[in-house]
Amino acid sequence: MKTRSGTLHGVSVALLGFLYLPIVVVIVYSFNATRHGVAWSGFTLEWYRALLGNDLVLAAVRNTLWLAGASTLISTVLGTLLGCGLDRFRPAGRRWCGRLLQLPMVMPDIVMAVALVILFSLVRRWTGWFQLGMGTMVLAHVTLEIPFVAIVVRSRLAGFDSSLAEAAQDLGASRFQVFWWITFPLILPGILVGALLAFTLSLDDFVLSFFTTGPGASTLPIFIYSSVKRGITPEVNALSAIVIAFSIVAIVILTLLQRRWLR
Amino acid sequence: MSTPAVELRAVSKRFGEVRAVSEVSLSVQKGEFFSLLGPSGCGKSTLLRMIAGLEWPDSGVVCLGSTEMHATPAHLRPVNTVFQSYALFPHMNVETNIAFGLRMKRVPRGVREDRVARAMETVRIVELAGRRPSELSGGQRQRVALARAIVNEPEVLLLDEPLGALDLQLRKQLQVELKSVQRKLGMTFIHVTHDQEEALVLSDRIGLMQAGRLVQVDSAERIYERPRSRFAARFLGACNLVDAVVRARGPGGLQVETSFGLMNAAAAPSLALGEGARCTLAIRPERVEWGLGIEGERGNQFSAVVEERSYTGPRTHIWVRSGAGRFQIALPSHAANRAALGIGEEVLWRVPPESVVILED
Repeated sequence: MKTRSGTLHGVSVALLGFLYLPIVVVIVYSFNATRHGVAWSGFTLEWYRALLGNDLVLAAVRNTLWLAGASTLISTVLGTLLGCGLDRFRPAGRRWCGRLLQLPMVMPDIVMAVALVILFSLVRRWTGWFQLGMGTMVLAHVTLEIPFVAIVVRSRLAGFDSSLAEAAQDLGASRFQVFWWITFPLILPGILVGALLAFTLSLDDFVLSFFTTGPGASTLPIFIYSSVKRGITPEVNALSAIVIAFSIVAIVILTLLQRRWLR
Repeated sequence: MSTPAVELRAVSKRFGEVRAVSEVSLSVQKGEFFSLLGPSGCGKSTLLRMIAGLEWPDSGVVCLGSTEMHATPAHLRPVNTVFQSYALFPHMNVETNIAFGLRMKRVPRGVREDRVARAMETVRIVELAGRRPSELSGGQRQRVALARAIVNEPEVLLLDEPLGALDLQLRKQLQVELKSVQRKLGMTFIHVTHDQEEALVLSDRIGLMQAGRLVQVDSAERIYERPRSRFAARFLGACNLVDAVVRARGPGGLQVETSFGLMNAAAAPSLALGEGARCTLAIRPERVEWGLGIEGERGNQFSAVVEERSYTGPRTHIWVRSGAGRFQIALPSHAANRAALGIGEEVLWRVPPESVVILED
């Protein structure tokens, strides 16, 4: 039986509070009527209204969602293929490829970003392709997301009982039918979790986007960064609050999915 | 004889250095309940999987009906398997699980529903139709797995230790049901088990396997009463193995010498053992006759000292020492009680010559 330690309990609560304090501040100040400074001068929805009227913001939101959507779609398909492919490898190969997958995940984003920029400019020099813009951003995000999707899918496959595939085959299912009726539905939760992970990674990303973006392809994080350079405005607070709200929704969905399927 | 349902000719399979199955030839008749019996690792499951098409033989021929099928993938073979782990699809309910095979073969919906309903009736799980596998007990899962296989009306049904995961009580009950389903459908069943009693209860014939080889194929009764090797004698129930030397050959059999005296054995005429040849005798404990009233002139009678006795319910096992040999005798408990024999007492036992089996190894 665990006894409750008063001190540890207190420290934990304090730490959690510390983690959430900045977020609370941002949200609270997004409703503050003062334009400059930190004095509280009353509740207002003015900044949210201003955001909705700001075409730059709306374009950034559109870009962010489009980027996240496109990169998620591509990386989910490719990552699933990769995860399934790795599962067919012999154990030694599987272990090594697993490590190869983890490397990009732990590598600092900025290294990846620089590498991509160099690669893109090389290719551009010889072929004229890969002008910086939405296209290169999508590519960058796909490279970021693939390992995450592949790892989630592979771990789902690792728990997959191979006798189920054999049973389906025995009952007359061709290889494709086995995949479509048995393997795919059973790893689908893993694929969805991987996709959601990819989507939030993309929404979150600043470094890769910042390096690989081109004219007219600003995302929300980039927009916030460039606004903040000119001083923190209440609009940025409101924008941040909206992003936080979206993140919370994503986390809730992720948790629900996991609880439902990844038992 | 009509075309066998399954015919194997010199089928072999290795996994790396291990010879899983060596040169197995076998034919199973239509409508037969055939068991492959052997200890774990003897290759019986591999053999079954080669019939199913889940494993490819390295050499040899696998025929289903009159068609050679060793190069046909599993999904095109007219056989179905009940797996040891049941392998029910967890994302489908009972009814969809059972309908899976028919759906893959694009059987029209109306026919499909009829056949699924009939299969569920056959194994008595109609009320479980809407449940998920995770909501079923072990015995229920086993029935679903059986229904999912028989609904396809395969030429041959393969059962890989189908009752292995169940407790004794349920296993006995399902053995009876399995046998009655097989009889009702008239389907050919090939069943793999390491449980000798299960094999004896269920099978018309048993194929006994040892280290990748099929060592004896016989009816359940013959394989128990007339084992051909030490392995067969020991694997199917308790058996006394006695070393002996042939002393004389008569018209009715052999006279052999054992460490506790001369014994007559009714040998098969085909057995080529000359005078002086060494051999092993197999004597089932329950074939030993017992008691103080046995007449001396009947032969095959020996005296012994009771060393141990253990009561197992219907039978009482008694271990006796005769000369240098230790002998196990099984008596109906009521008879053992009547004889009221205590440890250390001297007794007489006798074994009829026809109950002495001369082994080939």
